Amino acid sequence: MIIGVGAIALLALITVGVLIFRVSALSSSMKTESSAADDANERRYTLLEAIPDGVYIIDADERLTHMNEEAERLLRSEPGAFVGRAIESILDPLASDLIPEIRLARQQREIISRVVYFRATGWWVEIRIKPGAKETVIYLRDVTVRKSAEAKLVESESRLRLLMDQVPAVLWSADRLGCFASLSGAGLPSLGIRESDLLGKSCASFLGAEDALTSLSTVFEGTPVEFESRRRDRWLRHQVEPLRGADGRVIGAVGVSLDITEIKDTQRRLEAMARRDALTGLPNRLALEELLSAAIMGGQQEREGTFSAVLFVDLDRFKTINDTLGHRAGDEVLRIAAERMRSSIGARDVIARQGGDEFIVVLTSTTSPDDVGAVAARILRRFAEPIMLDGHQLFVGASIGAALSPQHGTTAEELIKNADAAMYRVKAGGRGTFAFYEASMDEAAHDRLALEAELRVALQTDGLRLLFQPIIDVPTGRIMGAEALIRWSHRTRGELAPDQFIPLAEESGLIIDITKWVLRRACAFAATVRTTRPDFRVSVNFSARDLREANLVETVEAELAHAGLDPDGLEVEVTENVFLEDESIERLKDLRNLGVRIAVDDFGIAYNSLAYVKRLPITSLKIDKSFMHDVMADRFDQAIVKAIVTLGLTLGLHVIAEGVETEAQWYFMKELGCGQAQGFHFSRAIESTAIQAMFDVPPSFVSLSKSA
Amino acid sequence: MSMTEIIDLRAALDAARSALRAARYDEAMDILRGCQDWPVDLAEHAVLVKADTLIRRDAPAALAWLAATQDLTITDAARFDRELLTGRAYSNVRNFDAAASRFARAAKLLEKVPTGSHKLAYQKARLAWMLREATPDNADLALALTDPDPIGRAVAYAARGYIAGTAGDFAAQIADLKTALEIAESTDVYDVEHVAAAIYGLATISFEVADQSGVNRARQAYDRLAWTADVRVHQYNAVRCLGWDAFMRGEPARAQWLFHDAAAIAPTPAWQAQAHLDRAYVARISKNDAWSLDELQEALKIAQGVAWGETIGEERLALVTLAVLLAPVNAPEAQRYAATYAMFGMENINPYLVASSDKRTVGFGKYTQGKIEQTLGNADLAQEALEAAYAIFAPIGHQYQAMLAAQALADVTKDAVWADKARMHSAAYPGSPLTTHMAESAKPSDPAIEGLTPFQRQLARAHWSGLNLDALSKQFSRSMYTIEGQIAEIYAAFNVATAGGLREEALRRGIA
Repeated sequence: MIIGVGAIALLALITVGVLIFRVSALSSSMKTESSAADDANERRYTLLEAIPDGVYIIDADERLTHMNEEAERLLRSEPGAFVGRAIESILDPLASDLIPEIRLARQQREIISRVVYFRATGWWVEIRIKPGAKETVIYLRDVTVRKSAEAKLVESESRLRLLMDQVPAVLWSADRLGCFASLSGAGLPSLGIRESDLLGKSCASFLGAEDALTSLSTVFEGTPVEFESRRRDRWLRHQVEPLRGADGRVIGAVGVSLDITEIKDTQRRLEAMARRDALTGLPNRLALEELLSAAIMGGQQEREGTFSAVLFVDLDRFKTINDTLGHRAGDEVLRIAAERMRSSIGARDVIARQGGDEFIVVLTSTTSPDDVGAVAARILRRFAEPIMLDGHQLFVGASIGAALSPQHGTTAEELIKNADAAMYRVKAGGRGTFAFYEASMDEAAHDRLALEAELRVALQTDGLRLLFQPIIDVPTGRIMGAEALIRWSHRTRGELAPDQFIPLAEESGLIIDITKWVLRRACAFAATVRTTRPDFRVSVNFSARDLREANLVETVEAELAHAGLDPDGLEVEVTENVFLEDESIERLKDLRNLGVRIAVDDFGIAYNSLAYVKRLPITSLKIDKSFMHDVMADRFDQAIVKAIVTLGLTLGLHVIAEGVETEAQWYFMKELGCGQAQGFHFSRAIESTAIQAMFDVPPSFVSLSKSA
Repeated sequence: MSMTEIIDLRAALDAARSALRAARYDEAMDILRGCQDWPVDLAEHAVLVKADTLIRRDAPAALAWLAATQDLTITDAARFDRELLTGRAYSNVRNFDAAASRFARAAKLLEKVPTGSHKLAYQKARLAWMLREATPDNADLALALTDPDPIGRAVAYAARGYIAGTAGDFAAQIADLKTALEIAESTDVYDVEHVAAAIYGLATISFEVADQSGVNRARQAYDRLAWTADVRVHQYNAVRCLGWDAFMRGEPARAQWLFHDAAAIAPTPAWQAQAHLDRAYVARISKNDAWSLDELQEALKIAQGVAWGETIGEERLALVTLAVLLAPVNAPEAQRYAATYAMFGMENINPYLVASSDKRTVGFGKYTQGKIEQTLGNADLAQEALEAAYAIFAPIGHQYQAMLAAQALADVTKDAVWADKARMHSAAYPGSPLTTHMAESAKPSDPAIEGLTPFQRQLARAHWSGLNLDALSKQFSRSMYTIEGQIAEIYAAFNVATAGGLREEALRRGIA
């Protein structure tokens, strides 16, 4: 029979296509069993083809009489392959495996349905076995999409349940009267609430009386609200939305109340941290202003005759400590300083760290300026004591400025600003002392700020000048090179020397741009000179701040390239009296590797001179001019200078004598074998064009340039 | 205590006895809770019924109970029964000397309890069997076979059957088990556990030696018995055995229904996994790879949740099947399961065989060991173990087990002699799909399939069975990129461009 069906199927496929083939094949098959083919049945089978579900039909002998396309897909069958076969021979979970249920359905004349899951393919198929008098119809519906959605829903619900069980929240609803209609969630037990205690009761009992009334009335008007309330020792955040009926009218409210006590505590901790200086544990500037404002207000309210005072304390020489001993030592000094100040003030007074090495002391209720002076004196006395740190005995002084409320200011900001001005006056006057604010002090502070701004402008508008002081080869008297020295031609103050503005530039960070400015011009000058004098070199001073710049080496490299100057034509001068961090030393080594020369400026005056020689990739030593000043009269200076020259020669370094002002000094150095020298004996710092002119003058006339 | 209460207790005792016979042990234990406090004449019987119930579940607990209630058995009949129950419990915990001593004490009471001779004879014969000292013509056994109590008589026939089996006379074993079932079914009062054991025993031995009438009788009894949860292990093993018999006789659909039932009633997750593996194997041999993979996935999912260290030897056989079925699909995973099996020890298999020190125990162990070694890639060790298994099963006419061993040896050695032997044993089951399968396997393979890697072969089969790339990716735990690459190579080998084309080509070559 199967062969017969196959032959007819082939014919049908050629002539009228697959659909008609199915009907014909089925119809022919039936004709072999019963000559009276039923047109109604044919129509029925044609209809089955249009059904999106899989359908197959078995007869009383459990032979398959029809199978539609979807059923064939689900059974992974070829078209028509199963028709006519006993279902038991179609070994498949959707065919042979259903036989026990098919038989049961027939026996009980009941529809059997179930859903089966195929783990390998992830298919879900709904099976429905419908027994008839002669035939049994098996419906197979691919419900993978639906079941997957259901599975996702179940997953989502279980997540929600987990959330409900784990998150300390209360989910509730209320009616239009503001009474609870439902309550649930893991927040209930932790808040010590039983659902039954609140159901039907006013929301005010949970949300807080005032909040509940105003919030719920807003919600009933259709606007969601969010507010916080306190319930015993717990904080709650409520999010409430209108609950609408089918017609859109507000019929109540739904809310989520989250226990945010822990969040609040954390916030409080963070706020406290934000108001405290991490290094010293003192209140920081933010906290200080509030404390000070409160103190001013309190002073006004408390009792007549008392007032508040602000002391602005700035540590002296702190920068030097930081530069020479490093930040860690600096931090420790700040901690000790804070402790000393704390022990110098009263219990009601407040001390805060303003930033850097600046502290503010607020005296909350003093009765006379003398009291303020006494406190300042106590602080200064404590600072007179040395600080012992890593075997070093450090002397850290303090300069203190004071401002009184209300005569020197009525706001925190004003008082601090004026105390600061007073402190600057102290610094300018020699440090280590104390002064009250005076109106004239504002001008000095303004001056300083103005100077910084002007320097910035000068840098951008070529208000700076670069001069060069020749460096002379001692044996021949020829110019070997020059040290680049910056000058600022100030419009009102006249020409300013580096020590008058470089510290300001270092503090403000402008030094980086200034060094770059110098480097560009110095390299350009040296490159020009070297076209005729190939051994000429230019020296540029680098500050400790410059050496901390991460891209310093790249900057130098770029400037050399820009000028077309060989690295050998540049000498970087580093002052011996600065602390160099490891990174800075590495940068110097990188520069040396590049070919740049490294000179130690002001050599011999710091306690760790020899350590420098050992640690740094030095090519030159520049003897500090302080030794040169009395070298002809002072045997100690002579000995030191001799020692430095010998050291330099022994190590193969260039030794340059700075500050050579007399012929005697010149000869002395020459006798010692010092290779190079600079100073007024030869020339002061002059314009680059003047140096160019000097090249044409015989060596014996070089010294004349000092009057140029 | 009022008369009404006493009457109620008598009814309760009867109900407990019924529950015991019907293998509803929880129910019996519930009824007998506190029975030691019943009136003395009822208590002495009640504590013994409870002891009988306990022996079937936990022999040491039964011994403790019997010791604790010793003073309650006063009449000679009760004391006699106590000695028999105590001896039976001792023999179950393999303390044979103590058991013999108890039976000797019971023998001394026979004068006062003459009706007890058949029961005592049965227990003594059972002990002799466990000691491997019994023969089918054992005198005690002969007496037990004449027990006027049908329950006692049926159990005696079953015992003689096991003794005959241990002696290698499987035809006699089948005949005696059939008789045991006849006797049990001839009366309304029978012991469900004894019948369940007889059904399982009859199904197993009949299937092994390809005795169709024995399997049919077992199936008939299986359908009639009111199985309970307390005899689930017997039921599970019997239905699996019937399933394999159906499969070997060319009824794979029926086999699948029976394995489906086995999965539904499996007493433990490990056994449930095993039933799905049975279905996976039948589906694979029946060339429905998609179904096979599906059942394998189901088994794997269950197996992943099994604490294998806490399973008994028979349950752990699921690990072996897992390893064998996974080997062509996922070799590392297969080796992991094989190693797990090896780690927990290869002792098994059938507690009845173990109890009687039957040499077939060694045979099952060797076969399992061989399959594990084969999975682990130790061909020499596998061959050695499988040959040992074959040497045990083939001479005693255990066709199925001999066929399995020979088939495995054919795989390991590539020696056609073993394939011939496997086909010979398979032929003992008329219509076996395995015979056809092995014949097809022996045919020269298709060159296109031959050129594929083992993994690609699995992929190809699954693909032409209807699994799309996404399903293949999930099924074989490989990325879509890997699957696409492999499928491209398969298409190239068959010179086709689509899944439909591959299927058609496979059908045309007669390999799908």
